[in-house]
Amino acid sequence: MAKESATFKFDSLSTPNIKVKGLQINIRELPVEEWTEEPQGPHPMPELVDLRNWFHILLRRYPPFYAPVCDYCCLCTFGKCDLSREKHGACGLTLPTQQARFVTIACCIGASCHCGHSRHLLHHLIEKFGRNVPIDMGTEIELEAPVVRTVIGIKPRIIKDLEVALNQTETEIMHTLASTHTGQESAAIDYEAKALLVSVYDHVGMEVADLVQIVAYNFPKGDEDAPLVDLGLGVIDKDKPFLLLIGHNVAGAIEIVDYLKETGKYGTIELGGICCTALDSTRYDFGAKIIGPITYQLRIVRSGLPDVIMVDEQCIRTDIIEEAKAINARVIAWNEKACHGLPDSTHEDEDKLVEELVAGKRDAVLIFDTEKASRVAVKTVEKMFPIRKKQRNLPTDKEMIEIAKKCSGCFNCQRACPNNLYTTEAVIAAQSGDFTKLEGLYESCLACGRCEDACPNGIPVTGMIIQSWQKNVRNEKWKIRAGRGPVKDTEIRAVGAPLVLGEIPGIIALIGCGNLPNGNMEVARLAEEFLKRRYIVVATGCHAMDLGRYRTEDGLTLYEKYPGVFDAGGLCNIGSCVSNAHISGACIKVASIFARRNLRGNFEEIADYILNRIGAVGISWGAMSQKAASIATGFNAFGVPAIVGPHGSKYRRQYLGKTYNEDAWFIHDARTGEKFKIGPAPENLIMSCETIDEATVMAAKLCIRPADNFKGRAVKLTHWIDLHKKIYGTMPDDVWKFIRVEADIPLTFKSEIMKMLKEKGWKEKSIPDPTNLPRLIKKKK
Amino acid sequence: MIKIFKIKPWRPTHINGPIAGTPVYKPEIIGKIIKKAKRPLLIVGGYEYDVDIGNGKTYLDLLVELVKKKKIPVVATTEVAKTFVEKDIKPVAIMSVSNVIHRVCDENWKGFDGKGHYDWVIIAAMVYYLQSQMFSAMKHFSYKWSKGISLDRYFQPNASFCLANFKVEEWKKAINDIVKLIME
Ligand code: SF4
Ligand code: SF4
Ligand code: SF4
Repeated sequence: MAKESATFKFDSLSTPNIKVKGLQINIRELPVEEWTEEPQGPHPMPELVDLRNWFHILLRRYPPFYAPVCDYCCLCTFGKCDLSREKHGACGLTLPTQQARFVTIACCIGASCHCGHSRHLLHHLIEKFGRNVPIDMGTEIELEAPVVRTVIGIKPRIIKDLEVALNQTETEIMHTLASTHTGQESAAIDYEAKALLVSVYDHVGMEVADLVQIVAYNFPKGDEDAPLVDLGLGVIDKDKPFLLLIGHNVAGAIEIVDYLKETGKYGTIELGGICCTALDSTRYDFGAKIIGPITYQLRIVRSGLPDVIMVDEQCIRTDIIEEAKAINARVIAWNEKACHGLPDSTHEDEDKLVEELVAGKRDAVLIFDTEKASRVAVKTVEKMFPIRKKQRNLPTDKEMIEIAKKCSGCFNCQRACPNNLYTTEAVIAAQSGDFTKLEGLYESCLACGRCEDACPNGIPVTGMIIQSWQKNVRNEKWKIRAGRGPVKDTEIRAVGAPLVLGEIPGIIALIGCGNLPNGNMEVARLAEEFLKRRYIVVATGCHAMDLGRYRTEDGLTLYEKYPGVFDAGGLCNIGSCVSNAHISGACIKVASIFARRNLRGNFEEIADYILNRIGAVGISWGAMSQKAASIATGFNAFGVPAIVGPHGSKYRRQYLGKTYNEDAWFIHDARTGEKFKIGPAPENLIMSCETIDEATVMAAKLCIRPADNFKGRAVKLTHWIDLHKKIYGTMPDDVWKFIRVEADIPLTFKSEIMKMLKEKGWKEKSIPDPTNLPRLIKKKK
Repeated sequence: MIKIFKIKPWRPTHINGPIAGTPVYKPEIIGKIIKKAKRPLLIVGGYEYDVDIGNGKTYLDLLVELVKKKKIPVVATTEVAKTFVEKDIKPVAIMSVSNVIHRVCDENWKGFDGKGHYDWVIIAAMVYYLQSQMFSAMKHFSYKWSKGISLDRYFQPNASFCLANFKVEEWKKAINDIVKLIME
């Protein structure tokens, strides 16, 4: 029986018989209502090493490939230690182990970030709505919390039940982080196993966060027809006060919407946001607007449009107050995790705070009370708007020419640029009034500001790039479908069989942040390629926005053109970062609903099922954050491979299969126990690709699974070979490894493949019922 | 081998640690190493391969010429594969660079032809930071049997040899000189 704890506090309590003051009752363990439909599996609430066996199976097939970013360790005062090549640190540590340790720390940061977010939301919503809010996901979703059911082994009925899941998540994050202290693990593989475990809990944290916000705020519950909402820099009405939201925790934004509605002011101010707060606010209020992903912060702020900026947590520029000051806008912060050095104004007089903000006596305030912070934000934005005049922090065209003349052609800006953009050339061209080169950089520019800081002559290179684009801003009006939330059980019933048998060639999950090597268009084109091929495409976070900022040949955005259903050729905006758990959740649902596998505390079996059967691939083309590290590593733990863009190589670890090591590529036939050689499917578990074309071919290949039936295998091979030929001009030379029976061969390529098979001396094999877990063999040989 | 940098890496933050390769000012040094290599492997990536390097040729054209003439085994990591195929060159692999370098760093790997490791792994036309990562893996984990060279114009501290942050025009001449020397 799952347990949780509770604390009751009474300032004063009086009954006919007793009167007490300051009473506190602690109940250590309260049962979550028993889940009788399924037997408890072997690993409910897995602790630090409980899933080590499964992770070591994965790591044997996909050994880590380390590419250090730093050859030193400076984590304790014995250091700095030089770990290069075979050297040891003062504590005995080696370079590979340090890489694995570093990744483990990154995954702990990512998992704790989601879990902390989740904890805040749960606490806030329990305070607001009580503990008994039912987890009612509507008539088409019975399997409400697939990750929690599988990992924690409970079936939550009301939001308070989810406390158990978060308690356990926090415990495991703590133990994992403890293992990264000096003098703990010595083998890289054990850190990797811990990174995988803590990332499984990352998915628990994400699922809890999204579930509670869906049920408490009544977000769409798997609605494929969720409305289209506005996206882009050009969607803000300049004639209204503009309140910009930045971050990932929607609680503040919702207080604002509620306050505007309560006071009859709804529609009088523009509410638009950056990152997941924006995505989630449009799941509550379809009239809210999304400006863009993380890289749009400087673009919107320097344009001078926002009158007030409300920040919460994660991926907020830490110079936001400075940037806001430069446009004479004010900042309201409310989240404990990002206090910006501000004094606590939670208990100060509300109207006085507004007055001081408007008068410019304060640039920013910190209020640890979302309701109060929201009222202050709204009142301030109303008063600021008429007096502020949209003060920009961008040079005019005329000023740009003069500024550019200060350029000495030193290349410092280009050398500092993460995307190596040709900024020097563009600034020099601007000296004579030619801004086309600056404008040409805009779409690949991350608006990070590094070039500006590198310039010895104080040239605002980022600002010049943004300014050169201003004439295009009014056209930056796009549509994105509001985040629909989880995949419905009814949808899984419809696609389960074709997905597992391989007839729907795969699920392409675009799960990512904004560190894009060449702008968003290529991500959208990749999505379109797979949509045309009738894969299921799902998206979350920054990538969900990237797909909206693109028009197909017929002038429609992808969300307007493709239906929001989880089916072949459907494009689902699942939601924000925390909604990623619904993608692992969808894979789990296939195992449960289609294959009737028990979920309860049964992580290993479910992950084994997904790895062998469900052709899902995550693509995080702009992966940047520690959260992206734990999201992707969590997917890997669940048996879902992931591709990151070239910047992702700086995560310093990839899990790559050695296809030349044939011993690594076998499974057990669950029916007979026979050991079976399989083709390298999927070939890698997490890998960095260099170009989007390369990623496109690889994504199609990574959808191949050992359990595909012959029809499905032929469909998957057709797409992979077709893309390979289109992009590389040739048939893949390892295609024979994926042919088990003649019927696997795609008809279109039959003669070419038969010739190859003959040369290789290929013999027909049977198609196994694959498992990597000997304990699942029904009849041992 | 502790070196004090005379010049900064192209991306100044890419100083990984105390071991750094040699940025050369004389391109013929690189040309001679490749010429003398017993088992070189050329990896061609997907970054700025279509830059005009003079005489109406692109960088990729030049690399294709080199591979064709000297029969250097080539791995195409991206869409550049198509150009090789169209010019009747069969790359030893069309493979992600990480998968290639993972192999290079495996002491037990026998090469794409089963004949053992490559003594010099040469990377061309690949985005700076990805090259940096790949050379970093090689610097630590394959240095006993495979060393790295970059043909692009930037100082890559993790490669054993590379050019010393050449200006575009200097590099165009340098890359032509290197290829000419190897082909002589
Ligand atoms: S943790 Fe170990 S390797 Fe790192 S600085 Fe301390 S002694 Fe050196
Ligand atoms: S702001 Fe743009 S141009 Fe400047 S360094 Fe960042 S990405 Fe490069
Ligand atoms: S850093 Fe400044 S001076 Fe140097 S090239 Fe760039 S803009 Fe010109």
